[in-house]
Amino acid sequence: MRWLHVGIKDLTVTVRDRGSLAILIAMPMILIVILSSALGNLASNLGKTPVAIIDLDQGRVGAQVTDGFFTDPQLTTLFLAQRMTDPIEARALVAKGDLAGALVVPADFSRRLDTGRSSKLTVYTDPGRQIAGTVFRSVAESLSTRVSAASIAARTSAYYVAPLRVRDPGFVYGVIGKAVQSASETSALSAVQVVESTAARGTELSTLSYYAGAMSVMFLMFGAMFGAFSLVRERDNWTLPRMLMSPGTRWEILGGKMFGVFMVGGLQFLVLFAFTSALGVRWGDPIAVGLIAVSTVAAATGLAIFIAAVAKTVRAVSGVAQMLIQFMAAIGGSFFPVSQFPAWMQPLHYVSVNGWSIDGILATMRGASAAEVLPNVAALLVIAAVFFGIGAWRLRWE
Amino acid sequence: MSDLAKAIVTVTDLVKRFGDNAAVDGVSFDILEGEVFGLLGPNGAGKTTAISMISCLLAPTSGEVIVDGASVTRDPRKVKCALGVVPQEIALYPTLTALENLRFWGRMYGLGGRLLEERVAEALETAGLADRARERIETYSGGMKRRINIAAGIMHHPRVLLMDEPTVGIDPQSRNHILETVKELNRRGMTVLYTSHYMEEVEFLCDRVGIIDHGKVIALGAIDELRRLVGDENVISVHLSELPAGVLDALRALPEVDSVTATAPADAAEADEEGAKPEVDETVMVQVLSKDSGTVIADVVSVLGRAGARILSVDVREPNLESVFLHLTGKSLRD
Ligand SMILES: Nc1ncnc2c1ncn2[C@@H]1O[C@H](COP(=O)(O)OP(=O)(O)O)[C@@H](O)[C@H]1O
Ligand SMILES: [Mg+2]
Repeated sequence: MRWLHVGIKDLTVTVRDRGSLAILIAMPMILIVILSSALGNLASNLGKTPVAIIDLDQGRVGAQVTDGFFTDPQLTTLFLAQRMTDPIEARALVAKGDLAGALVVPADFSRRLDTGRSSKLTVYTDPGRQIAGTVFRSVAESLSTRVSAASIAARTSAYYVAPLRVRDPGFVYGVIGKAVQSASETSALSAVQVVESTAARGTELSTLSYYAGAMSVMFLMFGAMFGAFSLVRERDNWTLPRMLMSPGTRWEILGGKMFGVFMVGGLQFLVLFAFTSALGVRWGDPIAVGLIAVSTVAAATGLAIFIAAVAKTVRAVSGVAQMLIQFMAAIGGSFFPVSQFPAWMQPLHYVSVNGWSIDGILATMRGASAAEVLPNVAALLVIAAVFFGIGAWRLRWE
Repeated sequence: MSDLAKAIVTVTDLVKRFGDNAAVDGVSFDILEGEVFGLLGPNGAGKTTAISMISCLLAPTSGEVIVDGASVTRDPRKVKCALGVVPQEIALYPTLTALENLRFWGRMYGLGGRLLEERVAEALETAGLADRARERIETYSGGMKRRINIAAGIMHHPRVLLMDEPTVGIDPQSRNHILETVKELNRRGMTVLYTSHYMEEVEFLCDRVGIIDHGKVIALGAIDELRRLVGDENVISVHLSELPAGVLDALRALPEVDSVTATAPADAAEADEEGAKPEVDETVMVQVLSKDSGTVIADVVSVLGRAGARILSVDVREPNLESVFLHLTGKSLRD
């Protein structure tokens, strides 16, 4: 049971250190509040909105609707559009939150319009990004209007594009109001009807929810850094050698150190969970959240041993840890949502603890069940094992 | 201590190399049950490295250590159970209280429940700090930390206690308390290995002594046996206000003088834990070893007088461990 005593001792030492508590618990609280209020709604304010365009028509009229997303300079500053061929896949991506919306032009679009009949465009939007979704729908409507009545389209395109470049939520709301109004006015003239379909299930993911997850994960990594500090410091000031001279084994002691890091991480998560829940964040299914939290803390624990093994001194720990943590936070989406990254960068987030963890947390926030986040849990546990394996192998004890 | 007493620790041809440097270079000695065995040597002699191998912290490069019948390489767990260790550094958690530290270290030695509480109370009593047990270690003075550092090593009533320079950098009062504690623990039946570079401590405490230098034991035996190594030489100690240039060579050139060293006076030489020296002291202690101290003392004084040194005191003594070390190595323990 030595590991238990070592772990409890480490938890006591951490809790008693105000500096550590400030960094591990108070700082993420403050950052969550500041970032979410400063940045407002992410989807409307951060970077381009990722959308998919599925032109099953491949005809002249379909191109008139869709080309604008790739050629119109005003639309390309607003949207990051990608062409896809499978509406079901696009819908799934919207549901996951990877895309803010998808526009589907049906296969018979050109033929029907050319023969004087009406047709339907389908727009999938993510209710988690209400503003972005509404804007996207409005734009789609406007474009379709352009197809059916060029004169009206000219009038509508003037108002939806210009003001949208101003990154002010109030302005955006105003614009949406106008867009919706215009859509209803022009629909009478329109041969094309836009059918909106909600792709996702859950509730709206506010910036607050996003940063609640993203910052919690990032500061769990700082918890790992403190764990590594503790190991290196104990080696230097002879408390680790003293433990090694007691009848315990190395594994009991290392197990105890890991248990300590794990409990500090668990405590951090519980406090941040309670704090953000009080602010209104809905984390989702408790079992799913618990699984993600435990596996993330496990990965952070492995990271602590890894850092302690790579770095020989307290200063080196600080250097290595900050580099690793910032890298993982940046590519893993702790600063900005991965969906806002350029497409080529997005897969990179899977090389970080943060990426898998935030991915999982956003899923639970959107309503995913424990079974649905199991891949994330598995990935985090694999990362934990790899870090721990390398760390335990390379660790210098004396 | 009779020669029939059983050896509880046997160290045989112990070697530890760090790269090319042999920190411990073929050390052998026995520690007999019930004695206080001293390992005396200057900084860097290899004392801590030797203790680290006896306590299973470091694996020997070669050689063997048997503690209470168990080998450090084959049965380290049994060795560790028989040993208590007081490291040279204060290996405690500064933000935990003395009580919390002692409870933790007691648990690391397998104590729990009522027994743990009894032993913690007993150790606090031994340290004389029962009334301050609920204060954090970081608020303690250097001497008090040292006392808790010792208390943490004795709670499980080890058969052998390894103490690595337990008095380094503390005030004389705490030092006396610690020396008395060691005597008391030994009186209660604990065998002690005591390392130090203070010959006074070793002379005061130990039955037998190994003198270690550059990783080798250069002399081993009871204190009286070691004194006899110096033969009939005496030590002339001269306390000077300063050390004039060239005076040591002039002294060495005198007939009947065997060796000469200069050191800062004891105690004042060492900064305490807080980094402040007890007093500013630029005076020098010159020690001259000679078989014919009665004649030589006049020459020594006149050489020093001619060199312009102010003599604060002169003292002729029987040889002590310091002179033994001087005799064997030609240098001082505190160089
Ligand atoms: N971990 C180590 N790596 C390399 N050299 C060491 C190490 N530990 C001790 N030494 C060297 O071994 C020698 C003996 O050191 P030590 O056992 O600490 O001496 P003492 O305790 O008598 O002052 C010194 O020269 C020291 O520099
Ligand atoms: Mg030492």
